[in-house]
Amino acid sequence: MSNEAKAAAMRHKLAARREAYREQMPARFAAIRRAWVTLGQGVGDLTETRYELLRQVHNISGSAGTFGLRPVGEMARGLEHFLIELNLDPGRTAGDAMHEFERRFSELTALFDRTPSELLPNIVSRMDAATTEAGIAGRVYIVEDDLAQGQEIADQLRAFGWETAVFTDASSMERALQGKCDAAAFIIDMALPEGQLAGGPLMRRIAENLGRHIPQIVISAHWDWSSRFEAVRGGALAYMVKPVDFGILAERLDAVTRRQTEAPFKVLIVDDTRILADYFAQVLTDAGMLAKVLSDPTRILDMLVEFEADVILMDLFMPGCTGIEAARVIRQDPKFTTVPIVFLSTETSREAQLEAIAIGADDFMHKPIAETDLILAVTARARRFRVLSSLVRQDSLTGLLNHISLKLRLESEIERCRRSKTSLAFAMLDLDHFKQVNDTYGHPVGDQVIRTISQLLRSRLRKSDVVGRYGGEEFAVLMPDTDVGGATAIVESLRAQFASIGLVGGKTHFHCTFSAGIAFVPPATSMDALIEAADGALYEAKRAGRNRVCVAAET
Amino acid sequence: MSEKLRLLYVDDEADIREVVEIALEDEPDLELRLCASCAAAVELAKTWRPDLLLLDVMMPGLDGPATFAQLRALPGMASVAAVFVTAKVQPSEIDQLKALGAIGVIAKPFDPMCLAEHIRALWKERHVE
Repeated sequence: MSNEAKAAAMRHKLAARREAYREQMPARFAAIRRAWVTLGQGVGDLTETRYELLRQVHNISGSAGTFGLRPVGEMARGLEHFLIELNLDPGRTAGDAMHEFERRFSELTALFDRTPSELLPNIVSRMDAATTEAGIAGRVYIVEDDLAQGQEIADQLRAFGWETAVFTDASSMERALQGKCDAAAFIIDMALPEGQLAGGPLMRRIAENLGRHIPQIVISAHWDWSSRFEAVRGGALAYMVKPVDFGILAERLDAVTRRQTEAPFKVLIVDDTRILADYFAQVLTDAGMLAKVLSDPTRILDMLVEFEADVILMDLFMPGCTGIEAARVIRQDPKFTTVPIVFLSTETSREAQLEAIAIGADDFMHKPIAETDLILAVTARARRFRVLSSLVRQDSLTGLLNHISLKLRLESEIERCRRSKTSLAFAMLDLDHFKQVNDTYGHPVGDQVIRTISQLLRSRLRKSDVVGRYGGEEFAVLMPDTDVGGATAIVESLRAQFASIGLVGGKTHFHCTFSAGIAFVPPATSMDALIEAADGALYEAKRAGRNRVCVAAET
Repeated sequence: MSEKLRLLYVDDEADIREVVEIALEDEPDLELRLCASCAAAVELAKTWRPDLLLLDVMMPGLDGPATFAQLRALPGMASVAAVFVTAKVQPSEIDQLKALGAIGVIAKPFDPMCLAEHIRALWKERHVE
């Protein structure tokens, strides 16, 4: 290799490492904050903590420059010298030192945020590569010795937004995998040309070679001990017997690739000690949540409406108002009767705790709080809150919005659309001849058809679109900021995709279709008018022969 | 004389180890091994004799100088050469490290593109002394 080529290759590898270093910088800042707070709280071995704090800052000053962040490294060196001087000067008062540290540290983190990263433009994180707005989700590698079956699976999965690659034996897939990192999941037939149970060793080799675990699903004509055991040994996340139900397969793929992950829990932290509040926020953010800090309790009400917190963490003693009083104000609003409130306090009196419980506090934690305890308590409360809220809002079979929630959402979207002077499309979809499906194949199959169309709608629509189950076999789709052309194209594409999906009824595959009517705001000005217009268009579609999309007349 | 210069790099930070690996893995005259701690380095040195040690100074547990002492204490390693890699580069600090027997000091943050050359230069100077 020439020197130029060698240098270029090295630069490319270094760029990836720089990006990784940059991504981890917040964790380093968190460690520094943690050590500083621990020193401030005076708990544990202070000499050890002091050394740890210094070491963390020293590491940044020593490494940032190597990773393209020279200014950050130099500023960290300044902070390091400050800390060294501090250690040597016992005359420096605690309050004064704290302010100075806080000031320098904020400067450092702000500089990091501002510093552009010196990357090659085509480095994209793997997470981003796996999903896009429209729902295309990374490549599914399929290995199935029967080519026709393999291609059918590929075709069906494409309807749900997956890109695929089909192979008929283990070695050709392994060759194709060399040097690639675009696999989102694997679908592997246990029986391959290499052997009846060749799928098992193949899965293990894949896991070894790729270094990280990519979800694998086994499909098989057999439901016997050896095949299933091999699947378990190979680390398969699911095992499906042929003929494959493509709707269920798509659902499983979404689940194992976590394409639709739980949205991060939102935590509102109300504490007038800024550094402590920021510290809690950092701990929770590192644990994957979204945290917002508020030092002024009088702004809670606006913040709650805007932020929609799943949990509120509130300090018990704040200037101007106690946590108890603030909680009472919050609970006055029926909307916030159930949002969990966790109090933080150095106060340990039984009286204070009882008072807190009386106004509906969910938990009471004493400062200093161990990080893991904080994360556990908040996660448990937030998750429970979400489950309870969703039971009220979601249809149990499909997980889509139920009729009432859909209408509530429709109302607020129409309002928003009118305020911002944009257009909104509303589509009503109704399954064709659904009664026949139930009569021919039975209700369990009918239910699966409902779930399959729900799955399709969820995977093919944008995050900003709203999907709900309007009735038994009726669905509604709300598309904000979408005009006539766009909406018609989207619904038409969904119609074609749904019609192509092979649904399983007993031992055979069958197909189902839907008819749809679309209406818009403007010209509709109210929810009732919009629904009526969409309904009218739907009726037209049915009358004209079904399996088609009609747009409301007055559009 | 063996063809490749055997380098043992010891640093507790994984990020830096990875960069050093990238910087040196394609150099035909260098053979590189990486360790995260003094203990790991001592274990490795029992079966793989390095020619030159590259040691991070500030590490939790045993630091660079202590690691150097431990490795030198192994049989046959009494005169193994060492370069310290450190963010502390005041002239007095460099003198201190050289007084311990180091043949040189590489300053952190270092430029990975120049690391191989820098190491070669230090190694050549050692023979001149």
